[in-house]
Amino acid sequence: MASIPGYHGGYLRIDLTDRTSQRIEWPEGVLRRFIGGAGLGAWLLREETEGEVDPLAAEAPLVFVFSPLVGSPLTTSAKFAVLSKSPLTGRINDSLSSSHFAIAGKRTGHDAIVIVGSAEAATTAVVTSDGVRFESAESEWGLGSRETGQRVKQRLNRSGEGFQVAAIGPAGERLVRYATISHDARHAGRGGLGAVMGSKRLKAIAVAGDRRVEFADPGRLLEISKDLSKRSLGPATAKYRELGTIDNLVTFNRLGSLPTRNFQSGVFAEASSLAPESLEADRDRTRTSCAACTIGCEHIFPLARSGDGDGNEVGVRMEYENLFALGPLCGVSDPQTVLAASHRCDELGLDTISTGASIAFAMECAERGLVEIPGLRFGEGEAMLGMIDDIGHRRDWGDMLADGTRAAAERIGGGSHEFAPHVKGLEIPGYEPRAMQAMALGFAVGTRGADHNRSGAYEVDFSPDVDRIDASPQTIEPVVRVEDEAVLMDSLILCKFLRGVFEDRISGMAELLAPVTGWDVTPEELLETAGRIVTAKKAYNIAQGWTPAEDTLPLRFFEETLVEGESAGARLDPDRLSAQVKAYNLLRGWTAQGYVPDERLAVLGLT
Amino acid sequence: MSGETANGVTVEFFGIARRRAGTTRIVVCKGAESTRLGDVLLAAAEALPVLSRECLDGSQLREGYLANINARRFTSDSDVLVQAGDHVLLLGADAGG
Repeated sequence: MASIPGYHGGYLRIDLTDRTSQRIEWPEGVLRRFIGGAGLGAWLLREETEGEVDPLAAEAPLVFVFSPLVGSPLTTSAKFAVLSKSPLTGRINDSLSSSHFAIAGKRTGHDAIVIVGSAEAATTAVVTSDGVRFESAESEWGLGSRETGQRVKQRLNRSGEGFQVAAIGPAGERLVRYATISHDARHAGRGGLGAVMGSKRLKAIAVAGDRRVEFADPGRLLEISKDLSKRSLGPATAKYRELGTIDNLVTFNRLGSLPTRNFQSGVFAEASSLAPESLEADRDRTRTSCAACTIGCEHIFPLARSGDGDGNEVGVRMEYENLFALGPLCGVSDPQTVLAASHRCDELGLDTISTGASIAFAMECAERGLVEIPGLRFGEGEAMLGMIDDIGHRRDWGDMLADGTRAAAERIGGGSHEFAPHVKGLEIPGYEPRAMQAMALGFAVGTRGADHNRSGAYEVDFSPDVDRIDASPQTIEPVVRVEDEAVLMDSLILCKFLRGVFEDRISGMAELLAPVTGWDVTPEELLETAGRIVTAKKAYNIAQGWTPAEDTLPLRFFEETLVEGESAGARLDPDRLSAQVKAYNLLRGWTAQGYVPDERLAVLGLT
Repeated sequence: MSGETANGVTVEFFGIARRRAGTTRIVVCKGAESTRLGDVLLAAAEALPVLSRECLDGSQLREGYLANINARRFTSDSDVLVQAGDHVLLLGADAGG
């Protein structure tokens, strides 16, 4: 295939079982049709998977994918996607992470790295421009991901090669089904990619290289990069720069859409104690950013209060999702406890959303008398902290909760599946679906389950176009639109916090792609690409056993009305949601039930 | 004059608007039974001129900001009528997290 600017032209396939690797060139047309990141990863997963696969089996592929924009001067482009079949959901899982690993990974000379097989013992895969070597990771096994990364980097970078490392923590080693893969304290967080890596006894992957790609029009690229950087410092990103996403908590609480005590309420009476002002009151917050990012949304809080001494040097990156999941969702209002909980999740390598939701679910089960877990009740911070450790190490009740709320509900019984907070097995993030009913649809149809990064339908709820607690048929098209925008951002890859700087996101992305690749992509072509990638994910799920019954929410959201706050009276109507799912499916070119007709697969080039 | 009319319209601030305003809420348009959202925003900007630098442009919301009436209905339309006793939430347009 002729070389395409922005790409290296192929991917590296590593087999851990026999310690071999192979370079595979991209087939003609694949790159333009799937771009990179989550899109190209979806194509790779389908290529590398035959029939239904156990996500923790040796043959299950784990895919790291870079993008054409990585290495360019475009702000927020230093990102990578990791994909596998999720051990939590049994469906496709694509998770994104950021920073120097993306840049160093692409400099290995490959657009993606596919890992199959399983090592005999704990291993670090070292990937460079010259090939792959395998090192023992026995001395890192059992360590946290941060310490592992530091040790591997220290060992490999003695000659200044610039290695970057992605690693798993103890949770990944123990196959916790929502374990993360971490790089530089950032995480490919959702869906249990860390468990897939752990199942292969791959503790870490280190990347470095000296291969750079050419860009089609470097002058134009520099020009639009400068313009994008300038716009990224405007009002559309002020919230992220100054306050961080934690600011959502107070706003959502006021709107009655803050998931509280395992989704029993949309209002948390003590929300103000977790507001940015409260977190800052006796802590010196610092701010940082991913590589190649001008926004700098990461707000780091010291683990200890100012003047407390021990622990003050340890920083905890706080985002809305870990704040809500380890705070209101568990009824915990003490900021110190929430910071400590977040830190423990990071060290163990646990997805904070699924961890908080699993503990909140267990708290409700305990309060209903379905289980007896000493001390575990809503608001009991110390018990929450202990349970995080137990989950990370699969001890006692933590062993059961380590499989997520869907599996836990099956074992606990007593009707607990009605309030186990997940869609397709993926725990619901911090958007109360009864109070944000476009988001409810986004959750229901999401190919990886309930997720706010693959569906930005909360934007539809937070717009003048719909009534957020009484969603109308007009909701469908905008929900498809924001999902299309998200899948494109995940494939180019760009940070979603840039969304607000584009007058028209699709046109804006087409404009960025042209000087990188030389493709004269139109917004129409990009929209078709978005539809292709979403459909490829759906086709993967169907091949892995998806059924239409999965595209819904737990019974709680249909049968229990919110009683507090500004969303009081809201609940989901099952018939209406079902009709919306069908309308969504038809708009995607699928059958009303959500199957993809052969003709549609053919039109999109997915056969 | 009814009690609600006397109470005017409460403008609540969230996010950057709250940080700029330095307060969580103010009450404006006291004495009016109903008023345009634009007039409420204008009154808020007069009471807290710092808002004009970034959040408000006269009676309009600046780019990146949105209003919400009584924590239910989102709008950026300055001509929407607001009643005495209502709450207008001034917040960032991006709810991403």
